[in-house]
Amino acid sequence: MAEVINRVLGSPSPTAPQGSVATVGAIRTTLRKQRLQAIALRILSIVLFIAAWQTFSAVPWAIEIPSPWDALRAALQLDPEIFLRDIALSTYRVALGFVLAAAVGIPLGICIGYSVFIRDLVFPSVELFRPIPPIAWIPLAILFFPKIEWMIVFLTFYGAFFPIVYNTVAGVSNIRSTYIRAGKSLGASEWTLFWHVVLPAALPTIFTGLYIAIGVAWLMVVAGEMIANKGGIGAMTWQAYQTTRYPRIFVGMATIGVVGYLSSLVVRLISRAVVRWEQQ
Amino acid sequence: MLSRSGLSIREVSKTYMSRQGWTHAVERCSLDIPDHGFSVLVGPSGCGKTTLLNIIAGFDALSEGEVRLDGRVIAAPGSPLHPGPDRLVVFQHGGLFPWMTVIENVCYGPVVQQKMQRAEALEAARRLLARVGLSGIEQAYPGDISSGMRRRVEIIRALISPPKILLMDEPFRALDALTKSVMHEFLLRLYDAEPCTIFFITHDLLEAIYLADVVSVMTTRPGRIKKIVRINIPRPRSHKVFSSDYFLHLKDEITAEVHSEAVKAFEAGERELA
Repeated sequence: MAEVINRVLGSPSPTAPQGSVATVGAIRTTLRKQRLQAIALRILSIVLFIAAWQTFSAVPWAIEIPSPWDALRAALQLDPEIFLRDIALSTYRVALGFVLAAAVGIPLGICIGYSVFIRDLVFPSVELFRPIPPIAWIPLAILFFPKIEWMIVFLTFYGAFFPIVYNTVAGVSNIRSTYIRAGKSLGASEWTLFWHVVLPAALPTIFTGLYIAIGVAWLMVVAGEMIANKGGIGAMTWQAYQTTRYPRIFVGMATIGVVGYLSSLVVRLISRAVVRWEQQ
Repeated sequence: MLSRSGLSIREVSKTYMSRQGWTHAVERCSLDIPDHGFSVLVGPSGCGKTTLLNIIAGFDALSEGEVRLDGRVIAAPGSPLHPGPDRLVVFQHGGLFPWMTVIENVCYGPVVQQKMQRAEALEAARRLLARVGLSGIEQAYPGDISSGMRRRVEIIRALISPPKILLMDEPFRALDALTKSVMHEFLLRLYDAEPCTIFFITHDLLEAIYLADVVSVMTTRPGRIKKIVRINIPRPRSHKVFSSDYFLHLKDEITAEVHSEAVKAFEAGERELA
């Protein structure tokens, strides 16, 4: 017991307080202190960033860089209805592309990872596509899709697809053989083995893929929207540039940052709820 | 000669192709484990102990010979592999499923084999865990409990619906000395209460003598059974036997056998490198 307390308190004191109530209280206080400190550091990080931005904008560059306050003012001047609609539209495009990529990518990755036959049949072509950066698909996607909306969703889908497939393949093919053997030995048939052993063992890696994919999906939606100019935060940012309202460019960028962060957070929360056994 | 019940390993050889050419992992290995017997196999590292266990478990194919369990052939050259719940394995590096809680792990076998309803299996698992003092961790994930507890849960998982033979592949290898001795007591108490047929692999000679009815010594690769030593220490056994003359005599005898094999293995390794 004393050893545990010392580890938590970080002090090798041999005279750690005895008695469970007092010690639990002491541990709680220490944990709370550490937590508060962590939160304070995170707030400080944001404050320092804004201060750096402020300083940067105060330097007389060739063009005038908007300060954080200019950006804030520009944000307040936006029509909230149009602004929110742009956010919703971009989020919708990301969600659609991402979900489609997961719906196709995870089963495909499982098949490639599980069956040597399918791996040899499919993987070489997948490998050929991988070095082509998703942005290089924009011209072809514009020509191919009759509707510009489909083009944007295709780009988000395509960007999210590869991280999902690759991580799923890695997750399925790197399962410790002991788990497969244990499953077979305990009496699982081929099919139950897949659901009870292969899939759960691969889940943490699959979620790593999803986490990377949501970031790439945002990258691609912004690129697509800037080209398409049919609504969304990317288009808003691009229009701000075209109409020389520079503070608004910063509003667009900051919005992409925040919304992108929030969607990564959603993926992480889902991951934590599903992969319950991998906490701490 | 051929015993009808228990495990019978007859002239088993295993050869496989590797980068160095054909490797003879196990050669003409014969061993009998009677029903309810506790048989321990010792030998230098890399002598083919685990290969033999994997053949019995149905994870690996054999090249020659046959393995029978209660008279039925479970492994023969060319026959398909069929691992199954009649031969459960406790794995060297742990085989609990990290995504299932302790109780889900313990219930898994009987439920997936449809031997028990889920509720029935949960009840049986709870009773068993309580009996070995592990009630408090039913809902914990294997990643959240100590390595000694994980080993105990894995053994319980294998015994909830008793297999015909329990195969233990150096199960206590990674444990510290203290936890290891706790595990020995745990395993011996389970065995004393309900003797099951156990095939146990280790290179810890003291562990082998303390646990076994019979200790078999395997030669260096290609692995053959070199010597079979009966351990006539009455059960239930306690730590006191470690200092008895008989125990020390057995220890010397088996150490000499294993040591000469280890030296051979070492010299063979040096030749390979030269």
